[in-house]
Amino acid sequence: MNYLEPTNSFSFQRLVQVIKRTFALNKRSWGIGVLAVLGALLLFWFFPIVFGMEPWHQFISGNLIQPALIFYMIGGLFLTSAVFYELQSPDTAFLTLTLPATSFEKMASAWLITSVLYTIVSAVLYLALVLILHVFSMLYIASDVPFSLYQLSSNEVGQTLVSYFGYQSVFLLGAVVFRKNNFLKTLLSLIIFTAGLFILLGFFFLIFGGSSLEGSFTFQFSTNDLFTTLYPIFNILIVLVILTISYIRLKNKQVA
Amino acid sequence: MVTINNLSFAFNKGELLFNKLNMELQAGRTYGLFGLNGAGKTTLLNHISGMLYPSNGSCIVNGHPTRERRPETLSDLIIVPEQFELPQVKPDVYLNLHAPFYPNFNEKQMSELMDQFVLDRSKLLSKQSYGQRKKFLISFALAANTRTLLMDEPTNGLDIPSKSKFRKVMAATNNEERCTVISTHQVRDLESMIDKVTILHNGSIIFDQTIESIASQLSFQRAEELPDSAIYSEEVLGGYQIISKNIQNSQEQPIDLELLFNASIEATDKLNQAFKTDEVQ
Repeated sequence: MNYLEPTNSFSFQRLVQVIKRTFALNKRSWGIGVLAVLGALLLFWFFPIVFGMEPWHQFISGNLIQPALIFYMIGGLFLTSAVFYELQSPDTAFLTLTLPATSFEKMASAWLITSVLYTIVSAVLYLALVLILHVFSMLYIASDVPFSLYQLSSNEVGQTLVSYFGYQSVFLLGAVVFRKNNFLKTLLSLIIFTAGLFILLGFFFLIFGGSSLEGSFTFQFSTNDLFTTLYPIFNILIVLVILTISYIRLKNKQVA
Repeated sequence: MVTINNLSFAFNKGELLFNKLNMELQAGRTYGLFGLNGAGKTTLLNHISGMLYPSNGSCIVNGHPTRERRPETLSDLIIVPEQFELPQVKPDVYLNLHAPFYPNFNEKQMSELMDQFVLDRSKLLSKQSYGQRKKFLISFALAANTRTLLMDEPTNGLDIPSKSKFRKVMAATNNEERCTVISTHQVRDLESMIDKVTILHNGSIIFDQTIESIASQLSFQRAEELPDSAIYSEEVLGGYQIISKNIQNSQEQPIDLELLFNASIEATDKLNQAFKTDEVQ
């Protein structure tokens, strides 16, 4: 057995071991989740063919991208909500809290697994499914089915990825902060926060943007270029701030 | 090794569980931490292991505050909680995932301990009984060979043969570098392995003496009549169980930890006076 150097600074080897540990302890539930999503995608692909709802070419495997993106988003947020499940119970919290790794390594492993690795695994699984369905289509439906990954590099995919990385950081914070029903509590917090923000913005525009709604739209339109430029930077900053808060909360987390 | 300085802690505002608690635990000793329900035994162990942070004061292990949760400190400290769940993996997988974090982990020792406790290696840990899981965690904690070992009610859930095996493995694995803290209500299960008795009551340490000191200063007897010199007594069938001052410094007598615990709660000042008088002399 290879033992890890108990250094107090960041250790890449230890990070890998924490990732391995998280994978090994969750592989059963994650495996069930993957099978459920793959099954659901198959149904999406298969049902219209069986019931003859559309011409066959509408169901080339690449058309699965939209439901796949929805499952990617929801599945990933569920996964993120549960990544610190050990902290949610006093009976299991000791496993995470006394694990000889830094809080940064624990947080980094959770983030890497639920964002980067999750995205890579999802993409690989999607590609595998599309390939299998294509072969199946050629064998059993029509030999001239065009192969298509369908807009895998499209703007829609890109936007989903950006949105996912943003929301994922919020759900990671929820995974550390809340003790039970992390997914629902984070979702509720997000809704309340967004509603609050809209109300505040509404007041802001009413006070500073003129007396009518038209004024606010004019304001938005005139700053469109600047907004487009700053928006990604603003997004990245927000994600970094949320991840930093999550890390601090994890560092200060005590047994429930 | 473990230093607790003026530790104050409250679960709820205004209800202090510990108020400026001080404690010094040394290597090579096995501390028996006793107390009534709610005295704060588990909370104290959680502070030592860094799972809880003091409101005031500090808890230092090997020179570093445990609230920092430094890997160096955590890899040399292990806790066996009273209530716990283990992941849905087989014992070997658990070992492969956790043992690398403990540089002094001894695989051979782990294997021997698992054999002694007759543990099932093929069954998922989460599917094993509470007692089996506890024996696994005790084996892991001992094989990790950390310098600080914390055990919260280790014999709870163990059957009678397992309790006996537990005492044997604890004795066999004891070493001069390790500081062991065992919190328990089952005083009779552990009296042979403890060499310092620490009793927590109302958030304070009301009794803290080594076994040698107790044996030399106190006399545990059974008598038909209650002598005036008794520090503490309990009525039993056909007489009294008595703790009195060992004035003649006679041969060491077996310590009745249960009686000592009751005495420390019921007659705290009188009991401690027996030790203070000797210190003055």
